[in-house]
Amino acid sequence: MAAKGPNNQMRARIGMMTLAFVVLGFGLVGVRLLYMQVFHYDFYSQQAASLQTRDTFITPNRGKIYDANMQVLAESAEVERIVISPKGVVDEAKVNKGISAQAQQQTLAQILADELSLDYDTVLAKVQKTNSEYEIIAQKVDKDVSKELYAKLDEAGCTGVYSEPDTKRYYQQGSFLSAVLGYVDNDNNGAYGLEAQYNDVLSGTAGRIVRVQNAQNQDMTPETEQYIPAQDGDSLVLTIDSDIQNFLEKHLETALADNPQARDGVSGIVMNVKTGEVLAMASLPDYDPNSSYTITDERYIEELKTNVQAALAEAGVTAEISDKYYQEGGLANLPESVQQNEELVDKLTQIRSQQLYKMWYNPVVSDTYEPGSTFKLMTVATAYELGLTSEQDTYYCGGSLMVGDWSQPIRCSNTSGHGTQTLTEALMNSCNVAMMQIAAKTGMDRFYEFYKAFGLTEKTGIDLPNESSGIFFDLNDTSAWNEVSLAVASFGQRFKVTPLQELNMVCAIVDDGKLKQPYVVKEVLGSDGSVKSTTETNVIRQVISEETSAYMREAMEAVVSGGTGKNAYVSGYRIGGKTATSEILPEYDDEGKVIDTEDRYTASFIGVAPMDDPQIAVLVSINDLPESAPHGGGAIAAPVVGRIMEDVLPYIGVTPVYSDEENDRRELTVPSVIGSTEEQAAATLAQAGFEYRVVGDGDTVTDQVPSSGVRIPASGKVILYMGESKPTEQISVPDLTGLTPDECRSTLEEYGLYLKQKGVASSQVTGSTTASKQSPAAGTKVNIGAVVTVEFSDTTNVNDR
Amino acid sequence: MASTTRQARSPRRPDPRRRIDTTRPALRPDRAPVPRDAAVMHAHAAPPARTRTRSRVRAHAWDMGVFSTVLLLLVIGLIALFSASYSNALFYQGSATYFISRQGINAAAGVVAMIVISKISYKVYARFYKELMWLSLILLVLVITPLGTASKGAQRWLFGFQPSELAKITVIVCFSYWIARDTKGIRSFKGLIKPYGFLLVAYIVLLFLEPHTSAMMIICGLGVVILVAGGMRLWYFGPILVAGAGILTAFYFAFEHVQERFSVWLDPFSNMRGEGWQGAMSQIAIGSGGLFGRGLGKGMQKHLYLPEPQNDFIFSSWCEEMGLIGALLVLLLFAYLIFRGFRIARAAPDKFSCLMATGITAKLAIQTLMNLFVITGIIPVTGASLPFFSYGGTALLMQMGEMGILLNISRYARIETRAEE
Repeated sequence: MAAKGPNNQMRARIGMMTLAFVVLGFGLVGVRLLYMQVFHYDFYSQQAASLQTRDTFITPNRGKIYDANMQVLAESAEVERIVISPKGVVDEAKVNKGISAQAQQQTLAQILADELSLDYDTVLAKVQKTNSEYEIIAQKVDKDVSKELYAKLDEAGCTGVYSEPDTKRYYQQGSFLSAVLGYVDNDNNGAYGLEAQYNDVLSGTAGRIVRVQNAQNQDMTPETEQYIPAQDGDSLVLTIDSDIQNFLEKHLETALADNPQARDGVSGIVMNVKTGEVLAMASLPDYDPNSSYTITDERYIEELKTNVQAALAEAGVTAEISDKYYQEGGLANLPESVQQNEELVDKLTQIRSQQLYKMWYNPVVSDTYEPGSTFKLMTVATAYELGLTSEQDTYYCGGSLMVGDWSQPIRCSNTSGHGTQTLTEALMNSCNVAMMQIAAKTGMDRFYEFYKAFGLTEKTGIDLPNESSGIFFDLNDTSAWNEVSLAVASFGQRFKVTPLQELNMVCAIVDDGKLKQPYVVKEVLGSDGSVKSTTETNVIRQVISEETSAYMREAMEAVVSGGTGKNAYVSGYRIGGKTATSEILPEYDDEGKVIDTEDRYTASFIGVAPMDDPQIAVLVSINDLPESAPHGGGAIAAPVVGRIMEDVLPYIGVTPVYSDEENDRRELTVPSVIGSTEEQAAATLAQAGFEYRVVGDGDTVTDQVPSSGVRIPASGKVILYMGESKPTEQISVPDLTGLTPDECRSTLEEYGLYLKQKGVASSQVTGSTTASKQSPAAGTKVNIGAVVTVEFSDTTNVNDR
Repeated sequence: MASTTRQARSPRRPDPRRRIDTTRPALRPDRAPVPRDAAVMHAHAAPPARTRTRSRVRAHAWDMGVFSTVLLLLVIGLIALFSASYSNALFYQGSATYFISRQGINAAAGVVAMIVISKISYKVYARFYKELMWLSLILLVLVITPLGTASKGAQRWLFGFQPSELAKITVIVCFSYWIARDTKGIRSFKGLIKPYGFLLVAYIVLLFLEPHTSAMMIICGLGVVILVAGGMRLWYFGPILVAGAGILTAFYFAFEHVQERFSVWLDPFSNMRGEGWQGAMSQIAIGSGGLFGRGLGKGMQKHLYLPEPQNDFIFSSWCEEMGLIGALLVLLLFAYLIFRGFRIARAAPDKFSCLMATGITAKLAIQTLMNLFVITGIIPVTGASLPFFSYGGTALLMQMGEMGILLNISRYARIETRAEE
């Protein structure tokens, strides 16, 4: 039986197996293939495409930012991102030679930490993440730094480090113009300022290379490569002029140094009156956009320290916080006891962020303030335009005025009263009472109508981010907008505008009533340098007539030549302006108590020049001053505007014209008289407009001070040495602070030096006009005949509140 | 009148020789009948006397279907191998023809081996079953000693040869012989344990030590197929299935890596860059081939994405290049070959050759399907090469040799089944 052929059962079973293998087995595979290759083809081919092709992004070059004179302010350069593959750090061959994996990791971490100035422990922790293939070690590393790094790595035989291309934004002039420029974040996106506003324009379009590669990342045939080039970003040409910006920043720095108690720093804008171009804009203290997360300014650090200490005290923690934390932040820079307190860390991080936001902020665009007396220009212009007042009208000021149902009289700056004043005098005196009377005539509706027409209810439309639009009284709420609020609004209190809105309004007032949209970017240049677009001046509307504007110019000039703005006077130039000292509404704490112990003020000044044909307008504000510190706009802000004007006006080509009254301020060139007789010399000097005095008794002039060709003020006397030579030893400049102009002149004459008088027009000089600044500083050694520039200011009759 | 299997099953069995004489007069008489009884029984004592009187089947022409299908698969396999392997060969071996040139020689040797072996009577193998068994066991022991070569965590090679391949053919020979010798034995549980169970367990233990899971599975599968074909009671499967499922379930919950492997199998894309890489690469290759494929030679996944495209995943690359159409063509060839193989088994002249043919065909079927199941993601990834396609000298030569045995058996096929053609 055993050797017989297969029986029926066997044959049947084999038959069933045939069926099972062939039909079920292969059938199943066939159906599965159908499902994969036909019904789910899309899924798999997509997977295949994403697997087999490599997309490389080509970072476009970010456009540059130029100032109005095509000077580069911001540009990008190629840098590297240093990355490691912790998996690839340990070389097994080396381990076999007895260098342990740990030792290799430590060597690498040490080199990285040393070369890139990083914390060794942090780097080592990343190197030891051996499960990872990608750890970023350092961002934005300069090429020369990375070159050196790789040389060191090669030397030590370290592996697993590689670079990725990246770009870094360079702001050559550091903190210069930082409030306007802003900065870019780590991903090269604009975070603040113009960089943010024009991010799309500047950043360009990324290109791509699509390559087909094998699993070892080797390129396959070149014809499979697709190349989409990157479109480089466009460049910006600003209306900002670096030179004017420099003048502004320089004088704001002085102002900040002079007013250390200004809690919110100082800010300023220089605008082209006719076009709305912003020529300079700054706010101090500022920051360096090259390292935007680092706080370096002492004032910011101090403020941060105060807030951090308060938070520590609140949390009941005593800890010494390192300066490094204040400057750079970072968890690692906190003491360990603090690090463990998560809540506190969050709080501190928040405090530091707020400080950073404040630092990055551009207050002249984003912050609002109560404009104060500069707003009186609008009150007067409106009434004048409506025919409700004229030069001939007079106003009586008794020191205060009862308005509506307000329980107390609203006081003027001069509580004893300005007496009877013309309209112009009311502005010169910055008289609140007169303004309240004028505004009352205008009425609430028309007042608001003009307020709106001057663009104060809306954003100016400047091409900078985060612009605010100001806050006015709630028109529908009679308890908010009524006669009393109209009265306080007439001198610029209890509503808020941005400094830019305020300055823009003044520009409209002096430029024949034309309200324009301010702007910062003049041109957009393509990556090839061609002009892609040009910003044209956009006149929004004419708010007041040319006549009204002409009167306002006159009145403003009077404010500077004889009113509260006299400290802004620059000889040879016709400057107009308006001072302001505005109260800051007190802050309340959670319980409704006033936080501040004393009243606080914003001191500001808006100046315009030249008044016969206004070209530039300058606003300077010194923010958040306490009652106890000097805080008058006429006293502390006006001189700053004067200094700025003095630098900017010659720069933009306005030639000084001295009136007879200003003859003493004129500068003349000294002629050469050496070798001539006294008689001849006297004639020559008289012709040149100089007086002289004689030293020695020779027949001919053997030496002269100053030497020929030197320019000195016309009031200076030339010294003639007859038979002697001028002394060669140097003279120490005396301290002139507090002296009147005449005292200064005679003191300097004794020393053989000349006075160049600045500030306060000679006609306005009173006994209280005293030297406030001098250059060179007291004690400086100078040669005989040197010119000492002295700035005089007057703190009397400049009070505008 | 054409004879049918139905007639063959009829209780009154007609004399086979008469059928040959009547229906197949063209049968070449010059081929001498192999003294099969002598060959099979020589090694054993006490052959039942009745076999001696049993009618003899003369050798005749081999099965052309098997022969031509094998050659076709071999040629297609070589084409697929070259296309799939050149990138890998170039990258890792430095020569694009590294694999194809070696496999070409193997294939030529294989064809020669197949033809030579097809001339050797299948009965020879029964004579050496014991030697085969001991040799395979000894080699399997040797391979796990330091003599064996380890690669990728498994020790499977002994001087370029995989003893597991020998074990597979040994299982076929031994089981076929034992069943043919004692048909009744496998109908009792006790008879199953010894010798079948013992041998299987010995192999399983030795293969587990290498370890070599796929060989384990194939050997078990082969054993079961031969036993079933030989007449094992089917209800024995009940406990085996229950026990197997129980063990698998226990494994699943006991070992986290098993669960992980299971989830990777279900969705290889969830961890494509890690554990799921092989499965995902294979499925992407297959799926992205679409209906018509990317074109021969134009596959992408073979460019180092597919792990060893010359080996286990050669058919994935084929599917990518030739599409569903090309894939189904190859599937049909395999299916046809398997169909022919089982046909030969059913028409085999005796139980031994029947079971040998069944085993050889089942081995081909199991290996092929296992590979196809793995690459299409029907079962979890395990090492399984594709017969005639995958690179590898031992496996190809063994495969061709087995086809030679099958061809030899086909030469003794009973005529009534041949007449069905």
